[in-house]
Amino acid sequence: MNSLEGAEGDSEQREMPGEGLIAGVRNRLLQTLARSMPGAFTFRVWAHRMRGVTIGTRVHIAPDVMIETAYPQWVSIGNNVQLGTRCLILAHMHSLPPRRSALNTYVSVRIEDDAYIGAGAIILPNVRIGRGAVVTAGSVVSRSVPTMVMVQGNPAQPVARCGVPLTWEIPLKTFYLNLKPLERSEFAANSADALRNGVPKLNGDNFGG
Amino acid sequence: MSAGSGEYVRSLILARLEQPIVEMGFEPAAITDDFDLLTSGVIDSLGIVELISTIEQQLGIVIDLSELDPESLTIVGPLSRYIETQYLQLAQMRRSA
Repeated sequence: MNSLEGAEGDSEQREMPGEGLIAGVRNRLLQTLARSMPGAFTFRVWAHRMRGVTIGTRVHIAPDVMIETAYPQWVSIGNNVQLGTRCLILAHMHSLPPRRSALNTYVSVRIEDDAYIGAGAIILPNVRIGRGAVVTAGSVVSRSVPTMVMVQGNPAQPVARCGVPLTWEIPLKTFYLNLKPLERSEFAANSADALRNGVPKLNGDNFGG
Repeated sequence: MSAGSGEYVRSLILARLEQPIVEMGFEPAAITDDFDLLTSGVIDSLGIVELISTIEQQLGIVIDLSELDPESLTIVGPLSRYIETQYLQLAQMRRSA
């Protein structure tokens, strides 16, 4: 058991709870099965629930997804969430254990309804992925993601607002159609590429016939 | 080629995406109207957003995509014609304002 004094102004003892051998082995076996067995909506979801992950309805878990090995109970996943292939969710840091009094209800990673986590994304501890948010493939999420926002990169940065969530039922192009860039000025530099390629820039009022 | 015409918008799209089009092994001059920028690997989701933004800046308009068939969003010909329609509608509104 790893115990740390709280930081200044946080006098309460923080503590990393023990796992227990049998529970730990069971937990890892289920994780291994969930990574390789079929059943994205069924078996994998069941296996992670048995490990202690809180999971809502109609959640899709792709192959090779890793959800917090030692403390799966610190992960909460809402309804209609999709987890892409090989995404990794980490919920604990040994250097920052939760407060002892909060252990029973502690949630480190909360993925809200309708969120989409792309293939190979890494979700780090102490973040909330907002409702309908999209994490693009390979991104590393180190800070919470607002509702209906798409993030990309390492560290993941907001790049667009999602007009509709990217749920299982939504065609990809419908999702694209409703994306709105957060900083349109960011793309201004790209217009220079078009200019260099010989396309004349038009004045905003230059409406021709 | 008049400003805002489908042909002009098409040239904007191909100029903006010339590099990825060539990188994917296509010849920009040989791109047909039914060329799908997404399934051909030329752009991704953010690429579409950037493309629309670039066209908006070039034309000086805000494009309302709400009436566009989602399937047409990434296909060169239908997207060009839709933006042309938008441009002409906005031009008419500005003239009558």
